[in-house]
Amino acid sequence: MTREALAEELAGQPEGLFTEYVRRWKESGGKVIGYSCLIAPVELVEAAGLLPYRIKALGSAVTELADAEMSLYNCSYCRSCLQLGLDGTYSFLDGVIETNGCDHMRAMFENWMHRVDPPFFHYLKAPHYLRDDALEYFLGGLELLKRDLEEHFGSEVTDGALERAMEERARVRELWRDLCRLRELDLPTVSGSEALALEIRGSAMLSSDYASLLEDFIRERERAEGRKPLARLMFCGPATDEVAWFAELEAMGAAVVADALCFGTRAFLPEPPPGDDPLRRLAEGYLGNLFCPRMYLEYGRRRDLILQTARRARVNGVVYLYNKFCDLHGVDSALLRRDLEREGIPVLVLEKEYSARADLGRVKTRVQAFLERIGGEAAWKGASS
Amino acid sequence: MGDGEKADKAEKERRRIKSTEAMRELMTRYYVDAKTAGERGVKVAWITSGGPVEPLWCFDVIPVYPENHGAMCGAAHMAVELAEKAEERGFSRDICSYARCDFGSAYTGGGPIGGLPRPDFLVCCNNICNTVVKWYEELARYFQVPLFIFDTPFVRGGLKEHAAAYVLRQMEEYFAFLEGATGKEMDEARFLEVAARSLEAISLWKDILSCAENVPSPMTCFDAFILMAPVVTLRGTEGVISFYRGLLEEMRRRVEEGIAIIPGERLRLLWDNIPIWYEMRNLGRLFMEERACLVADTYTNAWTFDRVDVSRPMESLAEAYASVYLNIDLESMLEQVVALAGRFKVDGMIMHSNRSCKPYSLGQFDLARMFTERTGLPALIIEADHTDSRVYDRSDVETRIRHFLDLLA
Repeated sequence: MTREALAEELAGQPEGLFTEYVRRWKESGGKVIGYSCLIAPVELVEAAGLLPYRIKALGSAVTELADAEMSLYNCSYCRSCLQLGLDGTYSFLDGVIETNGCDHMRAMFENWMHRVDPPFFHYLKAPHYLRDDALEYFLGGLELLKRDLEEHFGSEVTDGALERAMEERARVRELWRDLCRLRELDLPTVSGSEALALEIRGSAMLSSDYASLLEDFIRERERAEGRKPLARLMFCGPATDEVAWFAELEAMGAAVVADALCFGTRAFLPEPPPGDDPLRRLAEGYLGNLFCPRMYLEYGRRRDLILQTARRARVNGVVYLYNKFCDLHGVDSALLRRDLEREGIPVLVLEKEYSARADLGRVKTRVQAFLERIGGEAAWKGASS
Repeated sequence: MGDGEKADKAEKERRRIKSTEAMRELMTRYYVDAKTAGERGVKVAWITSGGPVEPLWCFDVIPVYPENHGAMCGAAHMAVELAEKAEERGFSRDICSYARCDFGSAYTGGGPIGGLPRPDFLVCCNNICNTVVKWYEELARYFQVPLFIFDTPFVRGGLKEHAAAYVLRQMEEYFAFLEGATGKEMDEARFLEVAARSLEAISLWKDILSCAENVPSPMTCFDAFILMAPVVTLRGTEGVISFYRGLLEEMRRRVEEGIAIIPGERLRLLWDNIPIWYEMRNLGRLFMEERACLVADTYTNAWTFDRVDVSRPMESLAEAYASVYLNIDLESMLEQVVALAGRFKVDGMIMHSNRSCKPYSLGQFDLARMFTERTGLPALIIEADHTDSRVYDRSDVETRIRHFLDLLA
């Protein structure tokens, strides 16, 4: 991905959802399946010969049509996504997989099904535990999804095809880790907004092509000269694809050197374990490594992962951002702030409306105050000496 | 007191639901029992309102409901100060106010009954929302007690076989958890006994609610919101059965004698969502003035599940708990709402878009539209919060309700 292409992504607009890549895929007769939550295994969709497309809103704040379906107490990101389904922006999708990622997202899909009535609609039920019975239940859900994809699109999902798709996705995961290493350098050569832009673009591509995109990008950045940021931050939170918003915050001088975001590193944590049965491996990999507050009794794991990442990336502070009315992140953020600050890591919790550009001034002021509080470079030197 | 005043007073007394006193006694006894349980070596579990309570009674554990307590705090106008205690600890104002109120009460022991008794363990079922799980995880951390989570799959178009198996398996795990938490073995005969009593309570509750099908109605759903406390908290016990028998008898007598709860009833309405607890009195007065009777609601009907098959109690209870109103798809919800409208002969529906209860409020716009398409009846959506009065605009809501009622009349 060239700097120019990345700049395009950074200035992402809703019309950019129907990317050149997707257009070409459709023109060659390919079908596109929309999904939203990370619990939906893209490998299964790819093994059925389909293009998995992660539904997003690219910072679109218009919700007029969606507001007639969902209340203002519902997550504004979900309303923005629904808007784009209702206004026809997503008419290129040949099907949609609903998941019970969270109450808002599930309801968004309920409305989507009612109003948009996509040609293919499947509800993939995902449990909230990692236990034997939950695994069997999730595996049953994946079998139903596989069967429905096969029946509707007339393509058999063989074990071989699934194994291949899993290998390709594994390559993407590996490359993402390489990308993270470049972000975590003392002089980072990849910014947080660039990483976010890559995931936004990559989550509308086949894994093999996403891998090529990452390879090219990493090759270019491995040779690049990094810049010392004013402060090193880690961002945590749910699905947010507001690249321009991220870029504006980074322009204040801080670099997002690590993240635990849904359109970021968390998308690469579900990793199937070794084994014989590919579908079972998928079920185990996804259910066991989601690191999302939707999962029950896993707060400790999430906290430890964030703590470990924050230390490895030598961050000066953590910013936990989430959209208003999100009870899952609303509770998790309060606990994380308490626990991370106890460990000496300052935390800023930013509760906001999705893509509220009018709110950017307030947010920037808060981030600026946070940067002053944590002292950036000087504070880190002090802490490590 | 003049003759007119005396007659008014007598008429009010005639219309008053007398069983309310018995309920107050029953609930006071229950809370006293719960608050003194530790002294008697009896265990207390906090449980979500949609959670399977029968197994707790089967193991002689007293269930306590933070949501019921939240409603009490709301009605007593004490919820805001408790919620602020949670907000002081970093919890957002946009999180469910029941949760914030409960955190505040747990941290401070505040509330109309001086807080809830400390739990020995917690049981959380996500058939009503996923917020409850975050809420209970925090309680488990705060009290340092075990937590059992009952994960019910969202049901679209009927419970699929593998989903039913998952729910049943969890019911079995729930019993195993209780064996560990109480040190007692499961007694199947006892479970059947409790389940049968629970079913009887549910059946009586259904019959009581059905009395409002009569014109004029002997009760409003605002009465039902209060009178539902025993079926939520005490189903499975003997006390609740005798109470509801008495209440049913009273309701039937009122029907026979033509005692209307709203004198001169001219409109009949359906209510959707949790009550606005702190505003019950004012809204009650408004509906009384307008001679509009809220004859049915989707909330109290949540405790009327009728799919329980006594020949397979464990399986059918598991299935019933998975298929509650808040855990089913929009079409199925619509079917239930339309059925209620028909049975109770309503003129329209008022939907409370509840800032706190996201799952209840999700889909309400679609539901309202589909309801009108199916029944030809109008629906009004008002905005509030079940216990956080800071977000309530009384004049706006009352004006909208009055306009809506004018339209219906």
